[in-house]
Amino acid sequence: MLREQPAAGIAALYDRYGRLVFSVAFRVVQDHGAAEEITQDVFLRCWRTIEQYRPEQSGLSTWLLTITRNRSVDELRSRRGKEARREVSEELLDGLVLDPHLDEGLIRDEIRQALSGLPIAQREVVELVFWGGLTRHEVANQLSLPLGTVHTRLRLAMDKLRVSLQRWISDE
Amino acid sequence: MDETMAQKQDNRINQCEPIQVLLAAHALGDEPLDAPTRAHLLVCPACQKILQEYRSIVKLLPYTAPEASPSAALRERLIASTQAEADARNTAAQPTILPTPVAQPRQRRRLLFGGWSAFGAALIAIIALLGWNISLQQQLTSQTASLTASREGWQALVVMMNDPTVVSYRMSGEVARGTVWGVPQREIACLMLEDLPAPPAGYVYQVWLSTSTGWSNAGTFDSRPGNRWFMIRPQQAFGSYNAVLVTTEPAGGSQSPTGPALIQGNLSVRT
Repeated sequence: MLREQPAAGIAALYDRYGRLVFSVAFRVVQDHGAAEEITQDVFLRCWRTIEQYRPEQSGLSTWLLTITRNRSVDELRSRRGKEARREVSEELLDGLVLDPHLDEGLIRDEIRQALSGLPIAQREVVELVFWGGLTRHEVANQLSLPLGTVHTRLRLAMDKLRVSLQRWISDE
Repeated sequence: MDETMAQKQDNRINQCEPIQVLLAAHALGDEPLDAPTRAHLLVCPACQKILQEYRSIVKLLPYTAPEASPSAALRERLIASTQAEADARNTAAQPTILPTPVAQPRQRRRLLFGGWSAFGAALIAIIALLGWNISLQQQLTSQTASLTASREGWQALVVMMNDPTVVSYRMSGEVARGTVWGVPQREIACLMLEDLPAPPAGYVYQVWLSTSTGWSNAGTFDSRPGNRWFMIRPQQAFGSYNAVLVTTEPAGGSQSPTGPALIQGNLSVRT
């Protein structure tokens, strides 16, 4: 008799991706306890909402890391007294299926290299929005820059990353 | 292209520049896009493509987080939390198990002095309650076994998905759609179904896999409506089958497909 499969490979999943998930959470919240709480939430949420996972649309690690980053930014924003962002939508999870056997170290090295190739000013705004959970308006305020300058830096940075990481985004 | 159309296209291209600036910020996690930007996206393939590429880049960025290690206790906490939640769900779905009724002293006196008819009635009631209790215990055992099977299936899914040779095929039907995933060299596959209605009362869904000699039974399942996934353990390697079919069959399943096809897929055309 085939049955729904709700629970338990959670331990196997954690063994495979736990450290990666924790690293992302810790990078955002910079707090060991909060990062562990987020990690636990992410895996529980994965277990509860596995029906929403579309293997054909997103690699498992990409799915988990996207949830982790968004959950962590929400935590960060909540601490700052800001409104949490919306839930991760299907739209955000659409696309980019990485080979699950791909060496994560290889991905990491290549992306780090691409990021380090950006001018510091551009990398800074990317990191403030992505890891810091700031809006472009908040970045402009924090760096005392005109909003237009923040826009330009973000756009230039993303276009450079688009070129240097082309092989990853064209493998879809 | 007439002049009006060319002008419209020029106008759209002129609109792209400021919008693509917003797309970069949005993909990185900035605020949701406003209505005019979304409207432009609907009609501009170039901006759609750029947004898609920005999103793909953003999905790679988490991999750059410096490696950090959680405490060893986190794994145990996670497993305990998952177990507790699964148990709570399982308990919520179970009827309460009543203790086996035992005659109280006053009842005993009444039994001793109330005559054979009262004794007989009490005895019948006790036997009936005992029978009910045994039935409930059996349900509990069955549900526990189901939960254990579920865990094994979940783990199997994760392992299967991480197999580099895993393949998928689209399935379609009038009332549902889905995908079947499997490893060609192994006896494992998984059905992922969307918009699945509940089967009629007294019926189950049955999965069939086709070979050159006909359909072979791959198991039955009942389901709540919605999106669900189910592990299949075929008798042969998944790659030896050429089609998959789900039919509605009487509870307990059938020897061969008899009911209407709910959903089916050709296993020679990969998605």
